[in-house]
Amino acid sequence: MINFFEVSKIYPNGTAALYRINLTVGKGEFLFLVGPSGSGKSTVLRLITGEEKPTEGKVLVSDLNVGRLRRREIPYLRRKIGVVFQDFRLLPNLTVAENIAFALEVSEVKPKETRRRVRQVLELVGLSHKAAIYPDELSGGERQRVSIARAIVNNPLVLLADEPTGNLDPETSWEIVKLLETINQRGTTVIMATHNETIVNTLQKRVVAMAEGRTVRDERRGTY
Amino acid sequence: MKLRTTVKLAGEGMTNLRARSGLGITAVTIITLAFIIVGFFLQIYLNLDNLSQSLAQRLQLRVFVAEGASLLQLETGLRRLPGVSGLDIITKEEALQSLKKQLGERAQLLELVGQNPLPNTFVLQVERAELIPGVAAAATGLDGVEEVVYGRESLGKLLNLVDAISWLSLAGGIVIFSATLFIVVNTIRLTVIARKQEIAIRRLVGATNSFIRAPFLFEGLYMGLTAACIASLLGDLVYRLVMQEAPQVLPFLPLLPRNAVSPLVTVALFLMGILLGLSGSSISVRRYLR
Ligand SMILES: Nc1ncnc2c1ncn2[C@@H]1O[C@H](COP(=O)(O)OP(=O)(O)OP(=O)(O)O)[C@@H](O)[C@H]1O
Ligand SMILES: [Mg+2]
Repeated sequence: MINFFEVSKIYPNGTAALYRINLTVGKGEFLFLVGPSGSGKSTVLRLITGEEKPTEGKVLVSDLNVGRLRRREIPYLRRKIGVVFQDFRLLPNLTVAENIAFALEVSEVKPKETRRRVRQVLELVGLSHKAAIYPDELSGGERQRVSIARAIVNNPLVLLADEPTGNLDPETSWEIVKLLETINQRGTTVIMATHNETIVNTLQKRVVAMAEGRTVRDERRGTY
Repeated sequence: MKLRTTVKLAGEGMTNLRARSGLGITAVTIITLAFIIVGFFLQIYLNLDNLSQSLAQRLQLRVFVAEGASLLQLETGLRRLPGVSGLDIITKEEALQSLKKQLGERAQLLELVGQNPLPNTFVLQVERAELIPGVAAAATGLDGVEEVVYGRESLGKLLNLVDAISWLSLAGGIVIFSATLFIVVNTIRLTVIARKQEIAIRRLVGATNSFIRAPFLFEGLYMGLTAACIASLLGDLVYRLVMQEAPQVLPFLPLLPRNAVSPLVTVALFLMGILLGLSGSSISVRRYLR
């Protein structure tokens, strides 16, 4: 599903973020990406979305060579990938339902189908009763649920979560991770970059550890 | 892009414009003023061009035929010259008759000359004033042509004047277009900045560049079209008033009728408005597209 072959990334300012990374993530896998700050986790995720291009090596996402995609092909790659961030990135002037529908607008889904899918994901994330509420009336955990709902409403092949629990208390963090697990069980590949030791150690999923731009450990039922 | 999406993004452009309506109104007002100036110059230009053409039509291009040359052959040759739209012949007999008429009583003088001294003459009509010198030169080269005459000096001055005004208008047009472009770019840039978050999320969820650009293009288009609309209506109104008053004030000035000016000016202003709106907004969002 996702393949990195000898991928190196040097940012335009000269920072070497990744060095000869090899990584294969299969369909339906759940993977934790761990490592100290600056080790290159976010860079790996940005290479998957095509936001950054590899300086060397090859990144494949469901058979698409991301580094070689033309600019106007990138949007179609993005529609196969859901992304969730630490800071939620919701639009304050749109309701919960509108925020989620926002992601379907760009692929020109019909209004009726949009309503159906929004209702579906709201149910999945347990926020059906808050559909008409604005983000600033929600708790952090609820906001992250909305942002996850927005990320999966397009039925993406893979969900990338960059420290999705970074702004949340331990209990709420657990709820979010459980939600990600549920989504994973429905067939979506999930890659989560995190600093949260407890979660990684408890869940016993595949763990890829990074340090200074290299993968230093890859365990099937790993710990932090 | 589907119609439904286009309509939605067009509505978003309107919302964007309304969201900062004070700024929008100021910007549109300035652009409208600039367009009014452009329209005014276009009206003047069209009339000047018309004036020069009608003056040019009164300039006769006369071709004097050499004694003994074949009139038929020469006529065919002259008709073939590019730019010649019509041709009259004044035979030497006709020329003599009219001269006699002019001389009146003194016509007997002509009998002193004996033989008719006047040449056969072709009078050419030329499509446009600026073609006259070329036609004259070409006609001079034809077999059997003795001499070609036209108001060389006055035509030259007229053409130079029209030329100077064209260049001046073009330069003025460029200056005004740049100034209004600057206004559009900066107005829309503010909207773009206010919507940075939306743009980023749209890109994240897979919006194409044209999807991201569309609301801003519409916003620019509304600005350009509003200005064009007001300016052409006003221009037409003013022209109508001028046409009403001109016959009393300047009875000898041959002004073009309203329907030969206003449609052209309107089309030009709308084209300029569209070009301005689209290019201005494209420049504003360019930096946020990848
Ligand atoms: N846009 C950028 N331009 C230049 N350098 C960058 C850029 N993004 C990241 N870097 C650098 O690349 C390296 C890897 O950064 P990255 O964000 O991938 O680390 P990370 O593992 O996600 O860190 P954190 O845990 O703090 O989020 C760092 O040295 C960082 O400073
Ligand atoms: Mg990071």
